[in-house]
Amino acid sequence: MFGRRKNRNTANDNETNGRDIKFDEVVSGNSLSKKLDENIDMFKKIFSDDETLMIRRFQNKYLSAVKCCIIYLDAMIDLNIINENIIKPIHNSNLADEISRSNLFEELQYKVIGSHNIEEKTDLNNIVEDILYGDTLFLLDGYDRGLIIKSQGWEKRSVEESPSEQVVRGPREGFTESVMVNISLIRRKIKNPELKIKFMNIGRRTHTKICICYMKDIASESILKELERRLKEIDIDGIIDSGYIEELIRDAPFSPLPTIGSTERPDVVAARLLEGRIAVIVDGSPDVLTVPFVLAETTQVNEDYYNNFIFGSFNRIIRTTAAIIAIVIPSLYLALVTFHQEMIPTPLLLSFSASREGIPFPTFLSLFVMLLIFDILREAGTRMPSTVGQAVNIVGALVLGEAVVQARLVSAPVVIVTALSGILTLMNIDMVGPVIVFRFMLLFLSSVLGIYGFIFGFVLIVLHLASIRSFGVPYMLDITSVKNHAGQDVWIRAPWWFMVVRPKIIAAKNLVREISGKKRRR
Amino acid sequence: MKPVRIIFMIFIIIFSCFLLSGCWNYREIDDLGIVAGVAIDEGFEKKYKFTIEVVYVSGGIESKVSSRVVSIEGNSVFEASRNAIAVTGKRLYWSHSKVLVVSKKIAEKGITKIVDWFIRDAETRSDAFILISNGETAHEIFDGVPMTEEIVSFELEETLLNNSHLSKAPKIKIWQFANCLAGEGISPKAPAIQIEKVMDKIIPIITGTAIFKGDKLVGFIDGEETKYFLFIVDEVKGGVLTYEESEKREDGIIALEIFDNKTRIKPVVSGNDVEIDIKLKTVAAINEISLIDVNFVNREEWRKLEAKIGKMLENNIKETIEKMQQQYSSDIFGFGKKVYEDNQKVWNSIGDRWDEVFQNLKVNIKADVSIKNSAVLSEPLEVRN
Repeated sequence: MFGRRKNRNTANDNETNGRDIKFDEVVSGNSLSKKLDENIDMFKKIFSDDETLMIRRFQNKYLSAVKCCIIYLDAMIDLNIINENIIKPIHNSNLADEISRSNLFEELQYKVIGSHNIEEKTDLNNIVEDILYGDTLFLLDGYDRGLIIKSQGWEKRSVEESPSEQVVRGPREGFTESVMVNISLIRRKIKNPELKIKFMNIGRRTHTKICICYMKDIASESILKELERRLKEIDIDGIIDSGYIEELIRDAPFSPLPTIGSTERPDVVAARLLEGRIAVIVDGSPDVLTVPFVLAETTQVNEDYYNNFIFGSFNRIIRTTAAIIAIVIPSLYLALVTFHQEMIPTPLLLSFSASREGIPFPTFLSLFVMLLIFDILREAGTRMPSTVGQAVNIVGALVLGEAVVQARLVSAPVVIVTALSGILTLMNIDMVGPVIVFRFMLLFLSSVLGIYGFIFGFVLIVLHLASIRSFGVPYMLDITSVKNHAGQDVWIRAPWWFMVVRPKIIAAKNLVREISGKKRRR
Repeated sequence: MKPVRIIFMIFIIIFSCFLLSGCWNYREIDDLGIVAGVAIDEGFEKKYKFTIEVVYVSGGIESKVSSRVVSIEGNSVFEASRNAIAVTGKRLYWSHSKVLVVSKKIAEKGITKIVDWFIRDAETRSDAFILISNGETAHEIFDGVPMTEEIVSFELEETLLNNSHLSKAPKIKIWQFANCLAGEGISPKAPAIQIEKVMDKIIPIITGTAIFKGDKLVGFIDGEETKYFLFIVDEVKGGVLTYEESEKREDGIIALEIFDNKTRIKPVVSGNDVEIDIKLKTVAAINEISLIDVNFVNREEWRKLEAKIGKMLENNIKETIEKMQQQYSSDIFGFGKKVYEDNQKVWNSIGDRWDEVFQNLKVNIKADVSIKNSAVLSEPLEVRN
């Protein structure tokens, strides 16, 4: 209903293949020459008007034939590496005795330069790309090859707990903006060669590093293949956050529901990898994407698995009911109060009636406006400096909650319903968007058709949920079934000794998680 | 499918909802005149006089619920209910009406027309309770002062619902009444209501049963008789059973609390002769003894008492049935219905003259009373000077 994903961007299929993306006209057509000066001029031209481009020429003290230069971008590199590991050894050591002149380039690469990562490169595209990523290019006069020496060094945020996904119990690490740090966080949780990590670059201009992580013996190959196909199809100038990728490769692009998971927590990603899901790490974004994503995951929280299973299940049931009530309660209240008064128990009807006495606005309008105001307060509070947030809270709670009822502009039940619905919405962070959309949809339907419209809208939502898929996996996976361990991790969180299999379809290749898990507990 | 087509289809579905939905209309809750109960009397100018108790809600921070009583006349029930708009200003909303009180005079002339409107109309609820006024008029019920509730009708409903602890009036909903009206071999009945003046206050009291034959009221039985009637139709779930030991002492009274009762009615057919077997299984407990010289801890005494109370129950039930047979010839117990359900062939031959058969029907009653305890005390309270 909200449209299946279609093959967009089919045009530049061959060109948009990872590292082969063509640069601007400046780069294309050029290649490294054997003369150092020509090469330097070429780079000056490529990086013209970029004053952070640093070119340092130097020679060996003893062997003047070693004329070389390093090219790098200032502020992207670790100066220690350049000074200590490149310039110093080449500059000071007595090369005249130690190395053969015929093979000067290789000799320097293997014997002199003291860096952990050196790569010989001739392709200018690659070289320019690496320089832009903070590597240093080493050029030697007389050779049309260059050495790329890893020398990245820029300020990174330290690993700290994500403020949006805090836990009482569980690891307190959160992803950072650096893809390499993020990989290390995952690797430290899964020490296994089956954890595969693949890189690709996306974004014609931003050249953002994208990393695909998966467990080779668990993850489904067809899902992996489909993910790679969709990623390769992306032809966009820039990727600033993983949100771009999420929207470009997701299923059901018009649906408000998330069909790709995202989290800032390495433990969540590691757990999902072990269930056969595939993670996509985007450089510059602390949110790591996971596919496929099913509806049940919206109510799963990492703490469920760390706490006692009874408590975990209880919390999950609360979260699930909260999402349903948040969607349903305003429209249900509206339908009952304005259409089906006979369905309300008499004492409740009388108190509703008393609270509405003298209210000038129709119930629908007051509900709609109050819900809108709640969302305005929520949105205002999200990005507000915490010093101002206090003021917003007071205005929101006192002025809109208390005063509006006192002034008899809105009836008290409407305020209660709004507050309840609003707070329950925030319980499932993944579902905030969809809940708001569905809530207003049902509210409109209820306002014209009563319960009839409400049921119609509810059926519409369920149909939509049943119709969408995430990377070929049904969105409602396992929700209606308890057979064969299908319901072990949906409405409740079964104890670990019971969850002996991984979710079907997603980890179809390697279903068994625990061998004889049930026996061990006895 | 193309998105345009999908959107178009969604619109078609939504708009067809407007046509398909039968009974719907948008109305705010405070625009309703909520009817709590209605009393129907004979009118002066027109046929019926409607006395409607409308809930009056005063809003604000301290909301208060009270009621106002409105009287309107009309030639038909529906006409009268619509005429009420002219008086109340708001459209009356019937879905929460709890009681329908019909005056004796109307009930004597035939009650079908009134019940029909309550059953037929979409808004009225057929699970409201029906009551027959045993006083002069029905509308005076609403002049009464409620004791626990703000609204008389709600209190009447409460009284009827709690009557299972008293068993002195049947609780009959309108649909049950209508079922009896239309059913074969059973006569309608309804609880009776009258007002009593206690210290200048008018208090409505529900006790006794109004007996109908066809759709016409033929008479009333009092609360005590009603209890035995309820024993027969298996609706006793509580209440007090008083046993008077008249042989030994004048004021020798044992009061038992009824805990449970199961009644089985079985028609026994031999040829074309029908007899009715009634078996009661009653569980009760002694709650009050003013018979000092009996020791109930003794098993034998206990059994004897059980047998005596069973006998008393049997006699009283028999009396009630005989009164129905001879005085009213109205089968409010539904014996005929039992025969119909049990043996249709026999019913086909006697159904047409059931009134006659009922009057001479032989009823065998067997009451099995078991007393399970004597509350907290095991022996009678002894007085020693």
